[in-house]
Amino acid sequence: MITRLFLIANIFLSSLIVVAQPEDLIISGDYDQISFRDFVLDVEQKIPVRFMYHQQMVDSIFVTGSFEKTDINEVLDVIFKNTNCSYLNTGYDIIITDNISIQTELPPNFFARSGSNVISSENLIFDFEKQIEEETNRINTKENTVIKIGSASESSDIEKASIAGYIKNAKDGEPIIGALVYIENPQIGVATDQFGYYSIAIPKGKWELKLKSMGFKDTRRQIILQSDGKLDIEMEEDIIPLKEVVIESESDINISGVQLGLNKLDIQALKKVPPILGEVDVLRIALTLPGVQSVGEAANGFHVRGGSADQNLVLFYEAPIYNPTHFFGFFSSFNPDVIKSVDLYKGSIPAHYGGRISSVLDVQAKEGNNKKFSGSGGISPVTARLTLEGPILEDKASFIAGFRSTYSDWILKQLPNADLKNSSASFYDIFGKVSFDLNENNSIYAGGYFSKDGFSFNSDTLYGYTNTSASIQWKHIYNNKIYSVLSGVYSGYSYNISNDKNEVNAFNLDYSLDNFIAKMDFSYFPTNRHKVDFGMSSILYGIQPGDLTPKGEEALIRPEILEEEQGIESAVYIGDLFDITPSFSLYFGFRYSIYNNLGPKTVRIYSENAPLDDDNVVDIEEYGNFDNIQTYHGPEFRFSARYDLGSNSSLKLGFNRMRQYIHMLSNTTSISPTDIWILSSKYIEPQIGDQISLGYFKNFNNNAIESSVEIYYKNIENLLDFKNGALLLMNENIETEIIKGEGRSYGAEFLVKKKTGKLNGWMSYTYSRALIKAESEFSGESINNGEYFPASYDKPHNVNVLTNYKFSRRISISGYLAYSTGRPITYPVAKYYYGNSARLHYSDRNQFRIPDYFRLDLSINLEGNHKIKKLNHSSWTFSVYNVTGRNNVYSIYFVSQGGKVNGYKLSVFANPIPTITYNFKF
Amino acid sequence: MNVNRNNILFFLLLIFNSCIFDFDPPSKDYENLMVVEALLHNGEEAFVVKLSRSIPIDTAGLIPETGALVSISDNTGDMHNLTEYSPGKYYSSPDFRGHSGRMYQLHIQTTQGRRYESDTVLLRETPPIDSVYFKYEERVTAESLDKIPGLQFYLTTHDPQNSTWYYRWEFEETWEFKSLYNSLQIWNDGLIEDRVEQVYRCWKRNSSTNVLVSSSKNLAKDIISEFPVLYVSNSTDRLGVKYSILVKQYALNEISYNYWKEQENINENLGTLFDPQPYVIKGNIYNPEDVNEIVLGFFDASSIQEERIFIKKGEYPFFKTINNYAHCTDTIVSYNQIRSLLGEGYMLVGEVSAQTSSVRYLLSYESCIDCTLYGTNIEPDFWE
Repeated sequence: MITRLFLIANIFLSSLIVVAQPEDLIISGDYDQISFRDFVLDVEQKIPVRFMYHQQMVDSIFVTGSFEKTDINEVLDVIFKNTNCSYLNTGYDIIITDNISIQTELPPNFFARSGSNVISSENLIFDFEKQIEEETNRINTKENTVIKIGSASESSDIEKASIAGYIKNAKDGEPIIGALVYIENPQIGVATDQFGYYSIAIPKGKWELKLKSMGFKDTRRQIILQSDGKLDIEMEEDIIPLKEVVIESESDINISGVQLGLNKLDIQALKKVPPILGEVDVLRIALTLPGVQSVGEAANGFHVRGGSADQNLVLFYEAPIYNPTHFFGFFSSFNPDVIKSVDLYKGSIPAHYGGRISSVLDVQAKEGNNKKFSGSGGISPVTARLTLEGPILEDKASFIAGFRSTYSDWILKQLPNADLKNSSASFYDIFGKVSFDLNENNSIYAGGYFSKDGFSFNSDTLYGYTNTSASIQWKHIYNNKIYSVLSGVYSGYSYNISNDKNEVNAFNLDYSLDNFIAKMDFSYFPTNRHKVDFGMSSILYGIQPGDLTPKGEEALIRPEILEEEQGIESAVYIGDLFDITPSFSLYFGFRYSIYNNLGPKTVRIYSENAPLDDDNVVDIEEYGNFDNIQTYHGPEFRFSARYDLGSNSSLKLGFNRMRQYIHMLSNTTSISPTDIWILSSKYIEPQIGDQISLGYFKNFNNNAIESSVEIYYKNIENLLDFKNGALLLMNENIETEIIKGEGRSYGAEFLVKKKTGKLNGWMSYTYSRALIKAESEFSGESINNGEYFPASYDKPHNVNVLTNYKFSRRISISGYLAYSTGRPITYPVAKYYYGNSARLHYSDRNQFRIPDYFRLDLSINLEGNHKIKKLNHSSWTFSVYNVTGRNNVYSIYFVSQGGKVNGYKLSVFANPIPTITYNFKF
Repeated sequence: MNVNRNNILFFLLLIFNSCIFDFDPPSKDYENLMVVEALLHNGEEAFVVKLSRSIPIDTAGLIPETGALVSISDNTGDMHNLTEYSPGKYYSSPDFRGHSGRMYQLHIQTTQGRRYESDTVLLRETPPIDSVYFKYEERVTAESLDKIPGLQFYLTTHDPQNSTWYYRWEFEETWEFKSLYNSLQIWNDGLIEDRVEQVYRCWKRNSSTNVLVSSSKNLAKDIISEFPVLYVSNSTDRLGVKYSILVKQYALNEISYNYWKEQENINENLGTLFDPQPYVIKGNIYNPEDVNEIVLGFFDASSIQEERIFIKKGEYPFFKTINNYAHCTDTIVSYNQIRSLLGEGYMLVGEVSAQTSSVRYLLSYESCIDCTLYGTNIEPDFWE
């Protein structure tokens, strides 16, 4: 009460009392766009005064100016000119007040909203006093401090003004993606983008600006908007874990957003899924989402809505990652501690993404804590990891660096089996990123990533592969309505196979892929009803498809280096998200991509109307460096629409076209360690995917329960399939092995999600089909007589249930259940005797199915105590993979052995696998 | 350059307790197809063409294609008819010999009137085998994930002309083994007589069943170095006394090499984590009236080179081989007790001299005495 009175007094004093002016408070200094807070720190060092203020009052105040032996009051007068604030200088304390009272003039239209056109002085005073009282009652909290944005002098006839800024986590300064910033009556809202940036245009006047984001306490700011201005807001983490959410899309975003087929996962949610072998694995969790399939448990790669594995764009901190797994697909190569969130676009894909036709898996990296130094890490049976982060310059610049490595080599050496002793399986990954806020309009981000795998069994063949990437981004804000991001990205993938068991045949095989990406992306917010993205990008690809060299002096392997492939993929795009009415919005995107296959290259010309094979070569053309060999280009339309059916449900429709110029060659059922990426060329046309989808979204219980039904139909052109027995490795003329295919997939995805409460989680059922046709005009090359057949990942029925139950703040259990139809396999139709052995004859591809798949995983999470001040927060996770020990069949296969044919079923994880993981944070 | 993807699977089997279960396949959509097996050579033995039909996968047994007219023609205009001496096996007459350097084509007409013919194939000259040798190794086999000792047989060959590049091999193993007891007498309904035919030393033989092919195509010289032919572990009785392996070498061309390689990939190398899609393996035999009819098998033509080696116990590091006679017990009895023991599965080994005045007889189980239960007691003519 005393405080309150004092503050009331302050407010009045500041407006009414003539302030005493001590003579000795003189300062000098040059200030260039520094925050008020920094200014205060500087002044307090120079003269014996103490400033008292709330940060919120001065959030939007920046100090610029050169002062030479100037009285502090004059300085403050300059600073507070055109702001809401005034001050009281007692000679010792300078009390900054948020000043509604001193306003002699209210912004035009201040009362327009309440319908009062007449502004009488009586009204004004009445209102004024009432406001003071109200504000004063609440002034202690940030949320109720009134912030003036912009200045009255700049005000013009335009009724609206915009506010822009960053929403950040109060704890570590991490930008909050997808936070909702909105006002009510009229309902106007925007969500923050990937940088935590928002820009909202609202009518001038007094507003309560509300903020909402999952995992954070709802908050609000009282603002008086006079003209365009900036407002950065920090949100407090919701420390009540009972409210934590498993898989999130922002509350009611699933209703109000225009996107279809978008799954957002934040890392907190990822950590709830029972880990396999103790590893929190982004790619495996993606497989729990409706519409995402894999060929099998140990299989590398994932398939989205009937697309093949190479049709997913996996981005990690802006860089495409070509082999996002460790150990041939068992673990994803992303350290969970450096991941902020994962977005999977499988339906409507915004126009700024391009290059793959099925999905975009965008893995966003965390930004370093810019407030204090901290770290996290953990130990699982497979890996140990450590991540450090902290400020380089407080509130301005930060870093994060994460390292993860397996110590399986060490474990293998401890095992009694001699083969395992002589084996090695190692991998590690490193990620680092720095962020600099140069000033309020310019930020620089830079990061790098490296992952490496090595494997050999019983000192035989050695496999190794690496992913490398580096990115740098410059974000520049031109004004509240437009900003741009200029990015330069390098991404590379390479693998190596070598064998020196036999001196004569010892070889070394290298493959490498490099790409350099330059892009400029603009985000433009002309009005609240439009959010426009536009930009351009260019990717230079260089591939060395195979370099075979002898290993050692005795080796007779003939060195063979395949010609390099080179190409440029460029695109321009524009997309507009247009809220036509609050209940009806449209996204229209247009991307035009152009691809040039470039020399140097020797290109075969085949005779027309004949199969592309060695016998039909009629000419050979030579192309020099950067000579254009072949150009492909075409438009890619992206469209989606949302229509609200009442406040808790909406209907959405989407159409998408995507083009893809880089392809993976694989004629195995799952991606193998020797699969390679190649570029579109004269004979390899770009893949084109069209998808149409329709969704109905409904929320219950105040958005606590979300439900959705989405149906889709997808058509894929120029799918790559291969002739029977095709040799893809070290093949100079790969076009001779290719058959052009078509894909067709459709499905319905049902999802129910409970996001809050002690019991949370989701369940989904998916019905989907994925069919492929590979027809050649030449006899004998077609697969299954040129008719549609099920793809290897065609699993029509799919059920996923993920639940999390919190017994208390410290103990929670999670369960995951998965069921799916068995995948199709090619089955023998006859047996015959040949070459002193029984052998099998196979006919049409994928006409038989392995048994259905079922798996249950459980995990218990024990958190340490939640004392905020505790130095080290730790947790234990006990998990069991495949609790029921079901022998899920990975494959059924037949082998001729000793003259007989034997049939086998292979189960990769045939027993329950228990693991313990220890995680810590400091 | 051979990338062994199976390693990764072995690794998983050991680490993650992955499991492989037997699976008895039901038959689906059975296709009854013509199967042709024919290898033309320039040796003295007759040229044999085997014709059969494919069978449902849950059945066994060869169904021969009998009564067909089979002939072979060459590019000099010669035509030779084959005769069916046993069901489905058609033999050339003794006056027919293949000639290297000539092009041959196979012609078949079945009793149903279906006509088949092969591509024309060059009878290739095969370079001799340089050597067949062995090394003592400890390896994981199909039976056991633990390493067991044994002998790995290798082959090295080369073509000084640098013109063969593609090779196929077959082998025949022959090994001598002995019974636990050398029985010299037999019980002939009360009479003890000397054995006429020994049953102590026997021989077994076994032919290769798996595809053995290799190519030197990506080497600078036409050399096949240390090609692994066969691993003989101590879990068999092969290395107990004396062992011999005969390796036959054939020259292939690129097409026939690919055929055999596909046979290997589709029928023998499946079961990795990264299996190829199985598919129809196309041979070089067609029905000219119906090109879509699938004919299984291949018509090969190549001269044959052979190499045989022998190994006696003691010529390799000692290791324990399997003991097939662990169950054997014997008993020494008087004449009067013999008859009743014979009824219990015993067999007479022979008289044993004893200090006592009466003659005693050693008896043991038949399986410990008579090696012809497992093999043949006729010594092969090549046995040294």
